[in-house]
Amino acid sequence: MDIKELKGIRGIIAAIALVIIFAGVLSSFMQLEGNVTRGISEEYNKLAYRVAPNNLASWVYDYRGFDTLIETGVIYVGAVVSVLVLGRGLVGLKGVDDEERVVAEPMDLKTETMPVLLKYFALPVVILLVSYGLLVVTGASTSGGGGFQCGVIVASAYLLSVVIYGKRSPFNLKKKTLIAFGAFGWGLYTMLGLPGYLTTNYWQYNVGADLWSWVPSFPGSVPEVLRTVFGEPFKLALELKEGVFYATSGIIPLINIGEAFNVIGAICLIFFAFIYGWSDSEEGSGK
Amino acid sequence: MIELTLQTLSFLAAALLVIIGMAGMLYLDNLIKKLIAFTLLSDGVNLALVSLGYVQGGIVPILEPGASLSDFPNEAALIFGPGIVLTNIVIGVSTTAILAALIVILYKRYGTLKASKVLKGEHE
Repeated sequence: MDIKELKGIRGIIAAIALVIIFAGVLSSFMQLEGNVTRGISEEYNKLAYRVAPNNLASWVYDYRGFDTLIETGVIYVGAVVSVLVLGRGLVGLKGVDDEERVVAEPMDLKTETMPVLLKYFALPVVILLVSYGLLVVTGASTSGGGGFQCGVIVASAYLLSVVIYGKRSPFNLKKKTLIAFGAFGWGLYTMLGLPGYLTTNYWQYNVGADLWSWVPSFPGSVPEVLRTVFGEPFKLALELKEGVFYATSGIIPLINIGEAFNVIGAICLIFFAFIYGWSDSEEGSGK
Repeated sequence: MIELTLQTLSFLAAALLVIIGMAGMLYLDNLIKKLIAFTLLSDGVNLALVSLGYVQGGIVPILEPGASLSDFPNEAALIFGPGIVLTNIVIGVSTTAILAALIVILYKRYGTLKASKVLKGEHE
């Protein structure tokens, strides 16, 4: 149906139908207002500060981490499926000859005609975007979140550099690299959550192992720098002292990094598919 | 008469977004416009979920040292809605990517973006 066809009686009926649906949607939203218990469940408030540095992190440990595992799967599968649909023409419609199968054609990237100003200023912006993404993912050290945002920021840097510089982009990741990124992120996420699940049946449970004691030690022990950078994975320490709130966040920072890798892979793969099709040959041809 | 708080207004905006998205998906012919309408609809749902957790004069749901545990549940904003929204955004990205890819396929097959022609199997 086109909007032009909605004249006369059909248009009036359509408008009335929309008004009725609007009233229904609005009233159901308004009913939510009174029927939701305000604040946060008493249980979270009683337990949160013993489980994790803050309420949100305790929530991540509770169910949200497992939820995110499925979520990382969904985004990875979504990216790969869109690449397959776009690049290989696997979705054959009935009655379509092989000649009519879809062949991916690359986007027309005329980088020669790009203004010089853009060419000079895009690279610093790309570098800034990537470092901003890294800042975001490393900044969220005490609660969940940050991985997806970092992935999206870095993917936008990738898109910018490819659009400006084309195949000569300094940030030109190959198809296989992107798939590996996504799979690595998903795998890291799974591997970090599994120990807790296998020992206690709770996903992402911090089993309390001292990871650094397993590392075949350098002369002496693990360098202090490494400890500072990676914290104490699997070892959740919380101390509520008088006026001092000390916490290590367990495996949450590492999980954020895994999520970031997964999202960078998935979203760059989507961009890749829309720009080059499936192939990453020199000309970007889909043939 | 309903009191016009910030929450009521954001529910109103959310309902408007939902209805604009729904109307776009139903009545617009262009597939790209349908896709845009779909994202509007999902944004409306997200806005409704976020504004669900609004507490007038509330605080950020982080337990500060020395905070009173008895007042905290009543003052802190609800974090359940934003959590669901995070999931929704990720799912939205995946579905939008797949939909866009399918639209590209349809365009290459039929040479048109008009849903009415695609449904009839007409070529441009």
